[in-house]
Amino acid sequence: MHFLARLFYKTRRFFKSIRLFLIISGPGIIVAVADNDASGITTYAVTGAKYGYNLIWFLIFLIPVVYYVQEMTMRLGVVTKRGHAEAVFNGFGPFWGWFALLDLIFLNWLTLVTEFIGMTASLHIFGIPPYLTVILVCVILGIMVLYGRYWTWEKIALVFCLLNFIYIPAVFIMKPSVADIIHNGLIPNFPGGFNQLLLFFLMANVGTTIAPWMLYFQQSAVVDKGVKEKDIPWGKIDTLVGAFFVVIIAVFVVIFTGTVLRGVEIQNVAEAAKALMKYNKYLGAALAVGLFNAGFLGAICITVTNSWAFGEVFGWAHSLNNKIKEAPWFYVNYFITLITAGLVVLIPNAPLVTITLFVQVVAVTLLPASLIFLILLLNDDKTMGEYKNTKTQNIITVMIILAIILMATLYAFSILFPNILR
Amino acid sequence: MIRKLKIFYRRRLKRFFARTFGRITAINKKYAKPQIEMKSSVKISLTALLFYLLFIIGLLVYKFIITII
Repeated sequence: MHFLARLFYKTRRFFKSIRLFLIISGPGIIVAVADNDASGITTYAVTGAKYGYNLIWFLIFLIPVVYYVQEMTMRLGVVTKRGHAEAVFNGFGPFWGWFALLDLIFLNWLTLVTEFIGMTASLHIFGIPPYLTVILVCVILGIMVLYGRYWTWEKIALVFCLLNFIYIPAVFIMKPSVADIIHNGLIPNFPGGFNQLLLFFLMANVGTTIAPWMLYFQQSAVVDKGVKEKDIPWGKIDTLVGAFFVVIIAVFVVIFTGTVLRGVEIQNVAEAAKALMKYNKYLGAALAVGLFNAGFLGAICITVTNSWAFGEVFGWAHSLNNKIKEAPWFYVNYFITLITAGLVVLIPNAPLVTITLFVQVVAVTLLPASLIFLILLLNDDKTMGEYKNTKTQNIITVMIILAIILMATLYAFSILFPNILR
Repeated sequence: MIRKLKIFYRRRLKRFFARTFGRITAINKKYAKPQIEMKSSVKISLTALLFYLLFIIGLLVYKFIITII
């Protein structure tokens, strides 16, 4: 009887914990899954087509990278109750504050343009013209923020996060060789030797995994959600689950293209989806739908990140819990960012490829700064109190941050000066 | 009529810029004193970051110029 009673209470406590986790979770999962945006999926797809399964082992190393950076962001937001933009202003003064804010706005807008590029290209495969895609996306994103509060927005975003897993059933349909995946993918190797092209791909994969907007998004999201200090352990689990999800999706995209498009030169996923449709229309459709969803998820997060950042600094009401009359500038900023980015894609002969490459380069001006601000703030006693970084956390995060800065810088170099690394 | 509209919108624009400029000045005043403790590690990190950014922006400008030429 005593055993049954204990079992009953343990089971009840377990389900209560699951329920609590489902309530607290959201920002960490959304930011990580949204990180596999249109350019992220493109990078993984091209990597799979070029190197097959051989770089899967490298992607797995990105789990701790995503976790440690995003966990610090979450902790900073929960403790300071400030978004990242405001935290930078408050911690480092107006010079660094304006640099971070204006760079973020510009970079986010460019990234949003690349999301629209991905979305219009993917739906164009199904015969939907770009202008219709832009209108559809703007309407859906508008409805998401105008109706309902933060919780509604978050739950809808989580549904789109689930759609990002479309590559998993698609891979099972293909029935790739598991032995090949384990042998070629999980044992560290450098296919074709460690050369400039391989380094470029490694840097691209690292560069696409940590984007500056992720820091600003997660920090503002935990503030808007009202996460408290006692919920930090749940926030850590949320972030860890997100880190796993981002890499799982990346691995399955690599397996997907590594199986059906190995050795095929592809420049973008839309091209790959079109080619794949001739071989298997369901797989091609899965790739195209996955690309659209990735771009859409990225757009969901990036638009709201800009509005949060502006609102925090300018002192406007800046919560998704505020209605349009209570926070007019928050929504004005949101719609201006969204609509202008969508319109760029509709300009005839717009230099979309240049914009896509340019985003990677501009990211190098903000990413190192954001990471350095993050670690300095997390080590400040006045800011963090008992929640500041431990010595172990500092060692790990400094190594990760230096590696990211190095890779991101080399990547930008290789884009600006293609022959410099030869 | 057109002249009246022009004057109206010029005044509105002036007020908008004055308000925005005022807001920016207020933000700068509010955050004038950095709250973070300026230890030597913080100063070194921020200085290194400044030089890094100047270097990257310099490269971007250089690339822009040689592309134009």
